[in-house]
Amino acid sequence: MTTYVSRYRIAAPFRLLMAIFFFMTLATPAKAYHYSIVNNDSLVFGSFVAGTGGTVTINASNGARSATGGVTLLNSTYRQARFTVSCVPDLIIDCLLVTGYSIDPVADIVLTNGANSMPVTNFSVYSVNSGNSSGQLSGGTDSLKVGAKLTAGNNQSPGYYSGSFSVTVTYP
Amino acid sequence: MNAHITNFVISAFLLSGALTAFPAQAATATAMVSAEIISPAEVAIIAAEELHKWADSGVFTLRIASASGTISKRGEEEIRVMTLSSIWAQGNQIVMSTTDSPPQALRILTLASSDASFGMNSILSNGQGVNLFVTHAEEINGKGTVYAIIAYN
Repeated sequence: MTTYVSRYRIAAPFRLLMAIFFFMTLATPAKAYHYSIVNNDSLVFGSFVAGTGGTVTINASNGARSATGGVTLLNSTYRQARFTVSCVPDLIIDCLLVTGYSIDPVADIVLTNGANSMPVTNFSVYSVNSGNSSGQLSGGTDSLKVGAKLTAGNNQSPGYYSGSFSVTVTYP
Repeated sequence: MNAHITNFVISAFLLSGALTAFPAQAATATAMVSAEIISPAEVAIIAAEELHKWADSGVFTLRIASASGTISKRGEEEIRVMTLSSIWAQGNQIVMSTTDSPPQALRILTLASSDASFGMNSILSNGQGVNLFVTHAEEINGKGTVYAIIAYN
């Protein structure tokens, strides 16, 4: 009796791995959606006199502006940043089954005006649907509002300062 | 031995494929941030409702911030002609009642000590009920200053 042994025979651990892989492939449906996030409004601290220095804070949830230290707020336009998060179906599959997502912490930035700069820290994100910092879709969308704290130095140079920040949402 | 190496390579390939098939995905958007620092020299209204100019006896032109208690950048303040119906001292403040339309609440001017010429301090210290007549007011460096006040009972 002749016994044939294939040179490409499959070892037992490898067969197990393949079985797990195929099981996962079959058991988990392919993702048929993706999320999008669009910026609707920029974050505006408005006009103020720096004086002896202090902070200007924009509240994420209600857009209120407040100051500390020697900062004098001037009558001007200010607002929190606003983003729209949406679930976009890639196939004809309903996004309504997807509701949760997470919001990555927003990194500190620096506003600049030539060689002058001011740090912007303590970014906070407010989800309109959840009423807190947790992302939650309702009807496939959510609105995020972002506030932060700007710190002006003593006799900070007058002028227009600008910068940018990014918000990243992670979804399953 | 070769079979083991082959198995290892293929296993790693399949495992990486399995992991990348179900990753947590992310989406990112960027927003602009802005702020404007104003030089103190550019601030027109040091205190809201501060008297800036006087036009005629009993008629005053006031530059006031668009919202009470706020401060505006020079050139962005609201300019309004107001008719003065009464003015009196109250503590260290001069209280003006105006008859402009629509009717405004009492306008209160807080006088700095440097503005208190012509015996202002003694007049103001008399408290309420002292009638005052503003004869001269002008704007200096964007700040209104009352120069002369005659008081009579």
